Amino acid sequence: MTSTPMVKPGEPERVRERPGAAAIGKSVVIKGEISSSEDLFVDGEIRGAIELRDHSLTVGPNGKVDANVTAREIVVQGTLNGNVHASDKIEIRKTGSLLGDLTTARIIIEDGAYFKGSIDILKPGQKTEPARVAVSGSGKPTVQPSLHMAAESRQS
Amino acid sequence: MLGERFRSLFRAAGELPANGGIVLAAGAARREAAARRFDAAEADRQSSGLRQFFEVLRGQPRMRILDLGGATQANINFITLQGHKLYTEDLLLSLDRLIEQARESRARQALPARVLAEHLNFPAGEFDGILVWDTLEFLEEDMLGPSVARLQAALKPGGTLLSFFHTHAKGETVPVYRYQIRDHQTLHLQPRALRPLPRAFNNRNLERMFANFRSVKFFLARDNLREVIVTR
Repeated sequence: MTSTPMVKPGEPERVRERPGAAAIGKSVVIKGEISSSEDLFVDGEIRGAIELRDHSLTVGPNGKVDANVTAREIVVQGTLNGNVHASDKIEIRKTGSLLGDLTTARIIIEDGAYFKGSIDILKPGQKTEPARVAVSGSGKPTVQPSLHMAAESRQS
Repeated sequence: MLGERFRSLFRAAGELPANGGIVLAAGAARREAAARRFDAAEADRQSSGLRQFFEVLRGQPRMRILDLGGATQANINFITLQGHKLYTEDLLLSLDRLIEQARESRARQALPARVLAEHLNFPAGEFDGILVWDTLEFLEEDMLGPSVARLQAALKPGGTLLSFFHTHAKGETVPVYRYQIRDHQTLHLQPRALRPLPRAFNNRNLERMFANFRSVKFFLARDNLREVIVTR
């Protein structure tokens, strides 16, 4: 992980991480919990949980995140599987795929983006529980979209 | 030539096979007809079914709505702004992905069970309303009945389901749309692809399909689309 922005000249704007954000590169795989008090750009793979509270998470075009996420703002250009709580905004770009239950104040979905799950919009001043963080021994998040969890328990 | 123009359009959207297989199979005349319908359906359209759907929900905050046409900004905004909770699933896209996987693994027989288990596995009585749009009419025979039963179970008693069916003949190629809600009774139809209809539906077929629901109501629109509102 590095705090140095890795911006290449000529690279499309939307692929870049935020200036000053911590970056997890393409070849990096992390299993476990990540807690940060700065913005985070993930272009590698994370399995576990991400807790950024007042900061933003960007899942880059090559990023693959299997984690429950709590952040102020979340931008998905790659793949994110997990329940997501964003106090401000969730943005799923056209290359992005998000599978999970969302709680957020605002959501932006570009045409072509894939999303499966529920959307709960927070009203101003409304507070809810952040995405529950539960990590199994394998480092994979155990929380799935709530409806499917319920369906599985019904079937068993 | 006109057909080619529209195939190019769909290819650009990345949702039609490069060989245009389903369109070519339908024949040139039908292709031209489909293209004309595509042209005509680009505009917004009024929907009596949609109006009825939201009339049932009016004044009831925190309703749970399932949209099987995939996530669109318009529908998310419209539904969540009324205080409802939205659940989205792109059933046709998920089905296409499963079919592709099944073709590779030659596991076509397991497909209906996988659709139910992976994409329609909702808890009983979970939703107050389900927006099915036109997805049911593209399901194969062996998936249709179980899928309708699963959706019925997912609705609360008194819950409402809105579904659309073309009035065209079996095998005809029809445009598939993304249905974007403009207001309580207006939809914007955004084209996604062309698909052949696996079967034709008439009122009798539909009544049979929804026989286990408490009520079935039809609206026949001028654009050859039959809107069906059913209540559990």
